[in-house]
Amino acid sequence: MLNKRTSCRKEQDGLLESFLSGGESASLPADLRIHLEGCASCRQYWHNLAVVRSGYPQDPLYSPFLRAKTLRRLANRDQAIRVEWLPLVVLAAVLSLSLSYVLPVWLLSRLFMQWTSSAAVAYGAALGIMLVLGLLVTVASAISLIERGYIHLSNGKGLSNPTETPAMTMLNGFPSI
Amino acid sequence: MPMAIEPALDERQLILQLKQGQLDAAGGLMDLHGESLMRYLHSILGSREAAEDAFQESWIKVMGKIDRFDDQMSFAPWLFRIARNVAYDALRRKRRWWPINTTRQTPKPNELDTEVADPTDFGHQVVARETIERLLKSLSPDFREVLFLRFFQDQSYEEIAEYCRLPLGTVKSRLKRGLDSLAKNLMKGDSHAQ
Repeated sequence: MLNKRTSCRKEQDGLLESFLSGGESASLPADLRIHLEGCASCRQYWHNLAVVRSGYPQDPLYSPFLRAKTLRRLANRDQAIRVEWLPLVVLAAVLSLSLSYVLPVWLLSRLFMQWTSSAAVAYGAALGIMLVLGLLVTVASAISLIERGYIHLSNGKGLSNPTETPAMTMLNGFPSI
Repeated sequence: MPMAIEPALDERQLILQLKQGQLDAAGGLMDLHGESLMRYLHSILGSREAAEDAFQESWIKVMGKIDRFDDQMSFAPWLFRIARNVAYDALRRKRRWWPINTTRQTPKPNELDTEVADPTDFGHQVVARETIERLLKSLSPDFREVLFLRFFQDQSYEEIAEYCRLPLGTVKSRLKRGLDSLAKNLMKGDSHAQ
């Protein structure tokens, strides 16, 4: 059976060509029609091409639930951080990192430690690297949030929202930063 | 469902409303294109859950870009192109974090349903559909996408090439190889049953 199938490669290529150009078995070239009559394997192949076409999944995939979920997400998107806020977010992150690392170290050094210059340089370099890394992480997080739609990349023009709740209306009433 | 038709008046109005910031217009557009868009995303991503995520993500992108949409153009191709980018981004993310093999994986014959003999019989049709669904999942997304566009959306080769930004020859060869693989895998199921 396997040998028979291997030897029918040319015929099956022909059947595939005919099928893709929308051919019915009646409009197949004569040599292919004759071959089909005598070859069960190719008949099955021809039949399977039709089965593939008719057997494409038919169950509905779009539902009112998906619609509502998507609209809710679109509405929430309007509440997300706007891109105009991005510099402020980055600035806040840098300040917070600076305060977390630099201030305590500075206080410690003033109060308890006697620095030699080389140790201070090494420590300063390490702090600098940490700050740069922190900044990179913040920027990467912001990009990731933008990609996922949590940060709104628009001109800041709000969208009227049919599913707006009183709380959301109240939030909308606040002046934007 | 057809993607290449001229936009209906309703659709134009909905787009205009969406540009004016009316969110319920997005719901109207979803109703017009939701089913075919979901099927398209499903054909690329291979699972309903992933398709739903990409569906939502696509509409978020649509909202962000709707101001730049040219009203003279047809909406569906624009929407589907955005969705395609979202779907392939999702696939890339998935590959990055979960390095799975999404190239062609042929199921073993004993994993296939074997009763696909008579497509006019309703029972067999159901079995065939399940089998084909499983076989489609075993194809790479590139093959699934062109098969879907050809057989579900009735797109011409030229339209598929434009949608997928592929040379015409690549579209034809993907269609042939995808279809050939499906038909032969169905046959393996048959011979296994015999």
